[in-house]
Amino acid sequence: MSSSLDDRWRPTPALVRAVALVVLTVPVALLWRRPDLLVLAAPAAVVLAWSVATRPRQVPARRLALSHAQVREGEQVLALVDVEPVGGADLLATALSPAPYVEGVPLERQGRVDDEDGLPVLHASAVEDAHGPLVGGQRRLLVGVRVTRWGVRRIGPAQVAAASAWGSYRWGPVRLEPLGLRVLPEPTVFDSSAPAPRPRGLVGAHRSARPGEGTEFATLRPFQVGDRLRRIHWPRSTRGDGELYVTSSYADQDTHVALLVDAHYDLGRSGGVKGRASSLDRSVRAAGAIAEHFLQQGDRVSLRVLSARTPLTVPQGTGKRHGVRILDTLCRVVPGVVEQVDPRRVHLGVDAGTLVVMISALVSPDAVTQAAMLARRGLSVVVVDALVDPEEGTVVESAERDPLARAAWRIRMLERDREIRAVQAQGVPVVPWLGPGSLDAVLRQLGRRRGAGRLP
Amino acid sequence: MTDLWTDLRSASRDQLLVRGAALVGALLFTLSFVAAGGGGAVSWTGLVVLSLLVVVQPHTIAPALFVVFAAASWWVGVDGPWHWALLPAALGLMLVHVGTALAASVPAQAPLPASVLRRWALRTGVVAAVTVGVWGAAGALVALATGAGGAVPGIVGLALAGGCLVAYLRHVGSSS
Repeated sequence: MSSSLDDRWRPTPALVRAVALVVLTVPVALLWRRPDLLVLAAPAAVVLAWSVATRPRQVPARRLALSHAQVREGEQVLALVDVEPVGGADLLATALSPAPYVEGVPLERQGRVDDEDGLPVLHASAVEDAHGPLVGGQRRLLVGVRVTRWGVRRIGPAQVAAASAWGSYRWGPVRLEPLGLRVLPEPTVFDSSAPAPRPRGLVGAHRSARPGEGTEFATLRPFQVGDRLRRIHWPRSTRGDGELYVTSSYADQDTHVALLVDAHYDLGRSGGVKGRASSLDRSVRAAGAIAEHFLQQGDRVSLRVLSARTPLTVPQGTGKRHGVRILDTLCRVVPGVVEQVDPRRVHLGVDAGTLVVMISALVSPDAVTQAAMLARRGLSVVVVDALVDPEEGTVVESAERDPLARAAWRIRMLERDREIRAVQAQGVPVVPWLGPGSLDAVLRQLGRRRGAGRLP
Repeated sequence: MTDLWTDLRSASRDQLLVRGAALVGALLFTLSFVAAGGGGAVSWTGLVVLSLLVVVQPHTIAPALFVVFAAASWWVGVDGPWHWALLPAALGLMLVHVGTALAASVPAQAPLPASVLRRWALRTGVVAAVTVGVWGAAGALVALATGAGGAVPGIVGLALAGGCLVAYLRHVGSSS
């Protein structure tokens, strides 16, 4: 909170300067008969008299708000600082404090300038004329910021201040408490032409194993009582043995896609939406992309986040609103290791016929164990490896400088390779996240398998 | 000091303009001081160094140091009581004061609204006009002064200044 000293109008160094010049110069000028010194002090004396005569007295009310409650990462949002207009105020100014993954939007072209710590200077400040137009009875200052990473981002705290005529009195800077902004992950481009392996629902876009009302052609067969007349295949019927033939189709069905996001660790350094991605960045964005893809197909999607700090769950649902709900949940993910929890006892809420897509850095043994357990239950399980950099095709290097820590990381990576091979041997495909088509081959193999067979 | 340099490098164009006006004012005073035949290497160097400090840190005590050092240098270095260069010197001090006051009132990275710049320019013009009037009146007084009255004008002036000071202190005391 701001101190009461800041929350009132106080003289500035400019006023002290004018007073000092007048007080020191005028007696000398009079005693030593130097009118030239009076001339030198004249501007300061006029400014001083003007400042004292127009001194503001009322402390303005103020408020910080945001133009949006939630945005996608990389999008802009406006911080709105409303200040009550008071007599004597001449200038209003505000500045937002730096926050992780929050960039200022400069109002004029400026090059990047780094501060002492090597961090870029935040251009998140605004100045307004105190005599300008009012918005709802308040003077409004707008500061544009861009959030570069998903999550619940802190906007602020904002410092707001006002200055009187000639900058002789200043109110503030007064701190306005920061606000949280939900930043939804920007799902990476993902598309899959492969169907979900085991559709079980009643309606949907996937071809069922059983014949029924649908759009996908199955075969030509003799007419039976109850067949619709529009199903009659006239070319075949007129060419044959006088029997009517109809086209049969596979029933269209939906499936339940259960997304499991392993948020035990966040490995690598996130550079925001335009920079390098950490393992959790890839996990969250991939989860968002897969959810959007299957929801667009009309499938049911559920979400479970495996994290000690944010054990979030979204039950299965369909539609665009459900997609937003999933993204909203994903933006609240915070990494945290679950300690002393037997993964075999964790109920994941998936039943037979569910396609389980686990997105994990596969560093926590719990995630690998759970994937293997689900596969043993006969579920279709696909594991997306979020530790692999899609551009380089390799796992992220350790950022540690300590050679011992780097050696430990390499050993852990070797163990991880062994664990991945073991889980693959149990029939769980592990694929890196490579964007469009990442899961095509795996989903087709799972669809063909249909039984208890294992993938190589 | 590094922070101040970073602040200057990342400043908006308006902020640089305002600080530039303060620098012009400081240099105008220095040139006027030289034109009036005042000072020497020490005071000139001091004025130039303080000018640069004024630009880098307008929100600190540097501008106050400059104006006090400038007035003291004029008192010591220039033979009174009047000189034509007094006008540009006084206008230079005014620019230093106004420029640094505006620069210190706002965040360095924020552009200034055009209406604010216009209003401050207009007010500065009014103060400059008053200064020209005072400069002319001082010149006329010096030309017409006969030396009659002895110390009376000084005593009256001091009493007037003291009265103003008391009124100011009462004003500040009643409002706080």
